[in-house]
Amino acid sequence: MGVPSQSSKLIRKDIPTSEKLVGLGILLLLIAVASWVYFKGGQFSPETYALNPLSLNSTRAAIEGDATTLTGEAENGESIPGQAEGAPRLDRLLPVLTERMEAMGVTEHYNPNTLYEKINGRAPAYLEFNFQELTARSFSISGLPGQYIDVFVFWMDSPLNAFGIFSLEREPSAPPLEFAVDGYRSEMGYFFRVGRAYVQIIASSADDSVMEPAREYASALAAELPKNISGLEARMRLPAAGQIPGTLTYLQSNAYGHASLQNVFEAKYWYEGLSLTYFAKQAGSEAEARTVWDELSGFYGKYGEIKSRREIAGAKVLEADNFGQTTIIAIRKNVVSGVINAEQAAPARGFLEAVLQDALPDIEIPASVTSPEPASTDNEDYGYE
Amino acid sequence: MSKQEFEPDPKGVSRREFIQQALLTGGVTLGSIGLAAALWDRRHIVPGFEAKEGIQLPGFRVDASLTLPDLAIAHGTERGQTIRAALGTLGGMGRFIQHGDVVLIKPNVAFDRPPALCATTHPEALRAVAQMAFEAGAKEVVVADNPINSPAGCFLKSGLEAVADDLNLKLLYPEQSAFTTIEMEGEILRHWPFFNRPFQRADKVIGLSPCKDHNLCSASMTMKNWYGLLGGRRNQFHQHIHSIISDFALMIQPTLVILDGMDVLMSNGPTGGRLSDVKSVNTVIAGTDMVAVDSCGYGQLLGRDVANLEYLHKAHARGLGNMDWKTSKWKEVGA
Repeated sequence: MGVPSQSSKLIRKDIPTSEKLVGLGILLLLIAVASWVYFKGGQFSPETYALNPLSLNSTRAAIEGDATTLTGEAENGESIPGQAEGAPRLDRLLPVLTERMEAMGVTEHYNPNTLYEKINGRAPAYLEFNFQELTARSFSISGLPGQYIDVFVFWMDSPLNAFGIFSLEREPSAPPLEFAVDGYRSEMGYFFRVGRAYVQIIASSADDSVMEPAREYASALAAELPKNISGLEARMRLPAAGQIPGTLTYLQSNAYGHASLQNVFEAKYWYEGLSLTYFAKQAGSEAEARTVWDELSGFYGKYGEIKSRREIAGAKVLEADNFGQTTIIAIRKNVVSGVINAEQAAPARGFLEAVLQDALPDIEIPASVTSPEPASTDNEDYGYE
Repeated sequence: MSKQEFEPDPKGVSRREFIQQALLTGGVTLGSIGLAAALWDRRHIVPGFEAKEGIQLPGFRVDASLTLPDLAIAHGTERGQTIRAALGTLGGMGRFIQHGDVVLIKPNVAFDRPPALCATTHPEALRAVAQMAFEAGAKEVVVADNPINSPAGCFLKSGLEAVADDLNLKLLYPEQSAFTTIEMEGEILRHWPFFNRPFQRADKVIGLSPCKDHNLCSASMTMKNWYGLLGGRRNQFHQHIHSIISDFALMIQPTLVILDGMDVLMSNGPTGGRLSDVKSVNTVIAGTDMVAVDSCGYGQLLGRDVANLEYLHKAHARGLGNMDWKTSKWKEVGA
């Protein structure tokens, strides 16, 4: 029999029952505590304990002058403390701008985490277009007791997304504005996009006595807002002639069910007595455009009947019949465009040829199709020549 | 160097020593637990350890009638008259309000928008309902809502403040002290700050809602209206919007709900902003079952398919109301 090792000598073999019971009790206690923690953890109350670190931004930003609602800010267009002299930044302060307006309060600011405080359940629609900040202010109208306008400037991350939310909410038949190419007058307000700002000016009444000063303010604000059309280049590919007012739309993704068709602009056109849907996508490169083209060609080859392949004015053109409707698509450099789902082939063909050859004639749109004048796209904002 | 063997203490641990050490260890453990319990501050402890103490709202319903309809649809061109016609069909305000009652009217004042845009309860609807409550003998009419943004601005621009001043209604603005935690076994709503002060003296509760398109839940009607009583960061519930709206049918049993469909916000809800979003439907629906009223309104006012409105199905499945409103006692009248 060998000598026992040092460790085996330390192991006690005879453990009293009382010690075993105490040990068991401690183990059971630990299990009970663990079970309690697990159970209570399942009863999580987000209201009481959830901490969204971003919610601290308003507190932190207050020191820097970015509080949810700035207090003590300068009025009447004066620059706010800490800024360089000159015109106020409109994302910081909505100044009075026109003589008949009197500020009813300070400029309010809302970020993506606080937007719901102002527009509640509407907020997610804006967040989908990468909303950055809302500046809002109310102005009373001198000489009209009880009448006011509410000004909302939604700053999106890009002109493209500003146009996206603008077109999502647009009133199709409303008359366009002369001071903003993407804009219209509603019965009680003005809605327009300039740069990456989507502006809503809502009046307290539809009466002309209120709407006229509201228009003055809208026009002045549109002139002050920074201009920017980056990302809206494809918009320029949609000709002005024949365009039915209020039909210009931005399709952020999955246009016409095609995953490759992102950031597409479309509008309806009146051509040879027919309403046609014309779209344009400006890709980042010719290779990217070719990928889109290949995907569309493959789709119509598989699920439709390709009627012809031609070349017009340097563009490759494909005409297909898809469930009795005609789709004609074209690719030229980094732009993919086309007429989609037309009821008749000949007008669609003629329209696309005219567009590609830059020979679209002036088209008179009958009143039965639309009553407002078409929005001019011959606008400096879009760089038309 | 020779290896020295370890020799255990031949005496070992005596029973007395073991008991002493066990008692000492146990005492230190229990003392620590006791000290921790004494110092424990619920507000600063890990999630889930909060005290589950809260209130439940009493029921505000009146006894069901064997003969009178529970749901009324009234058509008319003037808002006040149409509301009167709807309530008259239910048996009149006297069926619901007794002499000396304190009546709470819960409008939807979520936004600081002019009445014409129909994002809020119309002031003439409030005027009609409040007047009818007084005519039925109400001692006091209280009006309360919790708009997140600037309650004073919302009540002012919606035109409700002017009506309250005109009719001497008591406007209750949300203050921090006006909230109490509500506790219930909802699908998602269980323990939450609730604008309770208006309910403390109320004998009867009337929900008075506009009918609106809603970006998240398709429609904001009488059930969604109670969302405005929640405090806290209530936008957290937007991800479970249908669950929380169905929970409102469990949270509160109002005396009466009125869905104002004279002018309906058909698109770009719940804020709207354009008169083109608004359509005159010239209809008011009133009833005692908010699920039935909303089901009726969704189809009749918004012209949408009830099969697609999830929160109605949830509330119906839980037995909180009857979305098959045509199986209830209902009547349609002209004002």
